[in-house]
Amino acid sequence: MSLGKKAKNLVLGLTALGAMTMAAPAAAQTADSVKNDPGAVLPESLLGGTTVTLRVYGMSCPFCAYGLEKRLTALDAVDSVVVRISDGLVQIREVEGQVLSDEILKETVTDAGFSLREIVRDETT
Amino acid sequence: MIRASLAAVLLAIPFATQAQGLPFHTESALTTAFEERGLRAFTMVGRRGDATTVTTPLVILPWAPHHRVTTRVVVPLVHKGFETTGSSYSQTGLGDVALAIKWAFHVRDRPAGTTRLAVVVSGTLPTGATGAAFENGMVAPPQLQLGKGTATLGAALAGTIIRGRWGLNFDVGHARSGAHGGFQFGAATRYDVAIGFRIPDRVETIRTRTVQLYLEWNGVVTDRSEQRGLPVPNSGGHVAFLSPGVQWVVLPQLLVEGSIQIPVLQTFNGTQPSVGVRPALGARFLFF
Repeated sequence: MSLGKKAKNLVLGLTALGAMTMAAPAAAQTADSVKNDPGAVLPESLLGGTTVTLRVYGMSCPFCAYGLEKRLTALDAVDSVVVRISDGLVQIREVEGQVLSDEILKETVTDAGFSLREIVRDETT
Repeated sequence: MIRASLAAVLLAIPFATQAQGLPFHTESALTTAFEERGLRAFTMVGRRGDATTVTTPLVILPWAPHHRVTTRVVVPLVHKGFETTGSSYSQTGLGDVALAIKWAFHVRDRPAGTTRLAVVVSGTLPTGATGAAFENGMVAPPQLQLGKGTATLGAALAGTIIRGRWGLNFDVGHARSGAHGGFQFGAATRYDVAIGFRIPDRVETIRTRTVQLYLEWNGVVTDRSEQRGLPVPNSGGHVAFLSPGVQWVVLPQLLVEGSIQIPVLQTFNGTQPSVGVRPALGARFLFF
């Protein structure tokens, strides 16, 4: 990673930290949910759209989670997906202007064979 | 011919070609990832006395109609043969195609873990050849044929418990086959337990390459076969293997694996030679 990109990410990370501490209740909920996992909110969330964090039970191995990532990525409203297996978290960045409904998220996680326990939306735009 | 008959009896103990759990030989209750839609292929070599059996099943998981239900088709390429002084036999071709459906009727997920129970109903179709003959023209006994010549039906209960880097899989199942040409293979009851251990402990993303180590106990108790309604004395028994294995998840959708089955318990009816070590190598690919 170049020095410039590192600096950009550092700025984005600090901005994200600031946004988490000052944002609306939804963002505060996110901060609570990920307080033990500082990396759970990605700097990329500031690049546009909304970050949705899912707490998913049952993900026990990389290949288990692969199916979930594939299914989520296939959704039109999904821009990118990061699966954090050991933390049981799935982070989704929505396509700008589109919203993933709770129903679709639950259906997608269930179809992949896992249990969706929590949805946290982090409005950062 | 006596040796040929003996070898035929030895081959009556089937390979667990239907075992498609995440461990190499033990069934699992998972219906996700490599158990959902994909391909698996492996080759297993077994020897008993002068007899050799090589099975290369191609396992196809074509359809998962529900997140708790998967289907499976197993197309096995089989080689059976033996060689002694002045006598040899060799057959290679398609074995009996197997079909199975798995239903996970109990699922309880937790962070980085799960507890699942499943029922697996399976059967084989008589697609393997049954007319192979010795060099002298005499038709070989049923155990030396590539197929049984009759359908088989079975059911199994499988369980999977995963807690972080540790995993436990187990199954117990029973299968029966019909009769063909007056011969009926003995019913088989199999039981398997597998303990798994993942390296590394923490898996950050699905791109993390991991290695799974397994130690399995694979047992099968086979009833005596019957020839024209009479039990075959030198058939059936109880065989169990201790099976260490390793799997390397090269990519999220590609896994290569190896296992070696070491016989630790051999209690046969009548006179039957001992079972040898069974090495096996394979790979799994997720295609959806």
